[in-house]
Amino acid sequence: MNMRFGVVLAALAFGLSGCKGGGTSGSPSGMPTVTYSVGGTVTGLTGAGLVLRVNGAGNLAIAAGGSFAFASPIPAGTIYTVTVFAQPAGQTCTVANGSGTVTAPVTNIAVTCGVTIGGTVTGLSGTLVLRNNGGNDLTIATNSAFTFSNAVVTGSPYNVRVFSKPSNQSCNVANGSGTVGATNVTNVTVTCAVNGFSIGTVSDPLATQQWHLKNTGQFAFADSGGVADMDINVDPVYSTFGFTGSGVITAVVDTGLEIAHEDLAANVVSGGSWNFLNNTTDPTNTIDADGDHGTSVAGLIAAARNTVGGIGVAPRASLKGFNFLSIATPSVSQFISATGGSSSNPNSSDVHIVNESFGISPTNDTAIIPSVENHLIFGVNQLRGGKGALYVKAAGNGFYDMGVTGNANCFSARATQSLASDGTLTGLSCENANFDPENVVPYQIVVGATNASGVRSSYSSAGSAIWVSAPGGEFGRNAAQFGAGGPAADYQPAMVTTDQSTCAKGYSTNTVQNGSAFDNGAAPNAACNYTNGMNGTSSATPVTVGVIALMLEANPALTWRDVKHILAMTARQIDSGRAAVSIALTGGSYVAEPQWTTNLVGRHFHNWYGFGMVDASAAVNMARTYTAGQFGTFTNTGFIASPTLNFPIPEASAVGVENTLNVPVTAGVQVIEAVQISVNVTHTAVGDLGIELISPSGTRSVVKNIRDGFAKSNDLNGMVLLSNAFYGETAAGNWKIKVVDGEAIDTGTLVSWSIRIFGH
Amino acid sequence: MKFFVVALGLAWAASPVLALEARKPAQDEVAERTALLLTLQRGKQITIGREQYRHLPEVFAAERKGNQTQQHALDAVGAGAAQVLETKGRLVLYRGSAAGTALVARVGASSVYPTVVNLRTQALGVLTGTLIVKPKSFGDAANIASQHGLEPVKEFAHIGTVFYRAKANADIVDLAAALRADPRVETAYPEIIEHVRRPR
Repeated sequence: MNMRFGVVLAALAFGLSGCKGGGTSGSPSGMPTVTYSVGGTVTGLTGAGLVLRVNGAGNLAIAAGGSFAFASPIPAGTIYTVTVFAQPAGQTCTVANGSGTVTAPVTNIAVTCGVTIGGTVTGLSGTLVLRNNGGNDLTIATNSAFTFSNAVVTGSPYNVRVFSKPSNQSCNVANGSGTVGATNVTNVTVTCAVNGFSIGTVSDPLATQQWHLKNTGQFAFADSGGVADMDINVDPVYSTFGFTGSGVITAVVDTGLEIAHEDLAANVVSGGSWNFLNNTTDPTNTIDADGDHGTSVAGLIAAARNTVGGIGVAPRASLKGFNFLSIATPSVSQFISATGGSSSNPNSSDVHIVNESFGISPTNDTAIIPSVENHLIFGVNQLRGGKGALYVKAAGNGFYDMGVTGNANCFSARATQSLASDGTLTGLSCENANFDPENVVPYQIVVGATNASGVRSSYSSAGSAIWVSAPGGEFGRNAAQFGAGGPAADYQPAMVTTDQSTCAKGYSTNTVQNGSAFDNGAAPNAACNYTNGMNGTSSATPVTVGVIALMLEANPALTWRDVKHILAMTARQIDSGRAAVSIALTGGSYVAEPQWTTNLVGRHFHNWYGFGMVDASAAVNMARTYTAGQFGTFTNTGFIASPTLNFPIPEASAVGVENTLNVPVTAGVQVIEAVQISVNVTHTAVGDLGIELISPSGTRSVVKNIRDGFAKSNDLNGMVLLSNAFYGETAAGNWKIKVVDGEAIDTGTLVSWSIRIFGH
Repeated sequence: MKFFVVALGLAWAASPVLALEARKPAQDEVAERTALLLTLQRGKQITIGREQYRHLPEVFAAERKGNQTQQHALDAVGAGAAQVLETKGRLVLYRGSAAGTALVARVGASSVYPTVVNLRTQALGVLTGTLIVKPKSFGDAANIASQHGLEPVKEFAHIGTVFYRAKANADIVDLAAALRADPRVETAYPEIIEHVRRPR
């Protein structure tokens, strides 16, 4: 029976039947209509004047407690709603079980007369649910007076408590219990306050050495310190808002995760991890005695706030570990399973942020595996309830050394490198962040590393695919253990984080020389459960993951693009005076690595840092009040291709060769979120080549620097390169590519190129 | 990253001038590698997207398990005296004493994997025995497996892809070709590990 018909029947029924139990009456069709009585029980009534009403009519005056029934039965299938039409003198009556659909005699309507329970809430930021007497939940979102919907009979107890509260607050109830008298209770006081804390006052003994959280110039058990305030500015997030990443699930896709570690166990999702080597839910490392990278990564995200070790950036975020990097023959299927594509064995489908402190360092043009790209697209579109998972990935550690046998690939880059006056290793990067094909899709947040002095870590690869940078540290050594005479970076702070437990395994052991007293089991690391030597863009990545966890706690509605946008908008421009790297070529000095640039819409960008170093406080502040999803549909122009050009690339010339492609207004993207180009080049040493892209607004981005680690590689065969430097600019107009040969040895041609713009 | 420090320390001590002269050794390395690759027998061709590969019947890969050394891994597959060509993560690529077909073989508790060379980049790759298949209809996945003698590994409906494993003694290159010829299959190719993701 539909509702409209039921109402008609109800109206008719009131006039036709006085039956209290089941009965029948006429209907328009002539068929008898089954009707049922509607009633219940009144308790606690002492005052005069109570009138109940059913379905907006049919008033029933109640003089005393006990059972009641409305005079007119109601047809079966009809919705009934019982309300208090008039309150008795000096009392408040409330109705429980007051509505439903009539299918049998209704006898369970409970009218309770007594007093109301209420009070005031102060200090609330978020949503609070109060519960009285084990039920009657009341949701409160503002600081104001409140009253529970149900009355409590005089002489009965009341007991108000907090059922749920904002994750970053404590809410305490005063005057919350007692026995009600003759008047309404209005003095329940609920006081909420931020669970604020400060890094300087936590009980975690290593926290004050975690310079990436709060840089005071501490040594972090190395031989030298950094520069005060060159940190992620997270202390105000803790002290002002109390955010800790609570409720946010992070996936550590890595070598392992020691799920029982004393400083991690509290945040590990029980049964939520996966060991690909033995198909269990315990990915604790058993194959590498000399360190478990994943356990150290996990500590940077979410080492717990307790009385041991340090703290993670998001010390109450949840951790899941997937030891994908320990598989000897890692399959794409296992990558997908670990990064959100599997809901059982393993279950990664519930993760919010995926930490990818890994990558490849190819020495030639390498394309992304289509299944991987398709999976990432799925992840940002479907995971996290359609708001998109956050994929956060390490840019690479190949500024100086790509780890290739003999390292011959990096000689040309090294020839450009030197120590600047501030001690920073400058010059051209051997590895470009664009070499790793999984870095050149817009679905990743690619992270570079900074050190405790607030400049690029000596190893951190440069490249236009970098979105932001974050602390990754240097090497954390002691000359007494490691030996003196190394570069300054050897003795500058690395990251203090968790290490696989005991002195028999992990980075910290007492069995071999590990380079620092701390990592050799000296106090306060006698149990060797921590390390002061973790570093790399592997470390910058989990630091960024932690910041994103704080942002998502502050505003769970943020989409993946919102998060990227906020990170870009709030990143801190560090090392702002860093000079460009210029190389003398025929035709003049060639700016091979630009200084900080500012694009048409005011976004600062540098290939070393992306939009800058993450600023947790600024990001969380922006996230808290950010209107999610305001960018609309994410789309792209498709690849717009040049014809075959076959333009010779002049050798060792700053002039290079140029070509222009027009992106029409009708291409579907107005505002840029990322730009890809695909390049076909013939050349016998493509490491010589620099490739730059100039936007219609005139913004220049070097997407591949000259003299890089492709030194021994021939040709680019549709190599995809990505730049974030144009973020926010207009897509339409003429885009120019320029290819420069930075050496005078090999020759080649620009065969063709194409451009694809992502945005909205 | 924990093992990078030595390289950095040594490298900064080197004079940049040396780097300018290092180009020729780099080219020599290329020449040596090219010469080595030319001596290797080439087998069947595989095309995946823009890339073309040839099976290398004389080159195999063994995996290091647990704390095994490279030599232990080779010993375990009876190739203790073989010439090691390169490593890819835990995979040790070596030149075998005799040519083989493109199948994953079991030697005791270890596996021996066939390899390929990328004809464009000259990079070596390892055939894992996994085939990546996009059926036109997911409903055909089981029938495709049984007809081609495959074991389903994992299905990912969200990307319309099924991962199968070739059964013992099945030639992976032939299997991929047969799958591509199957009208129920949209795309099919063998999984090749050219690069292994490493911690950073």
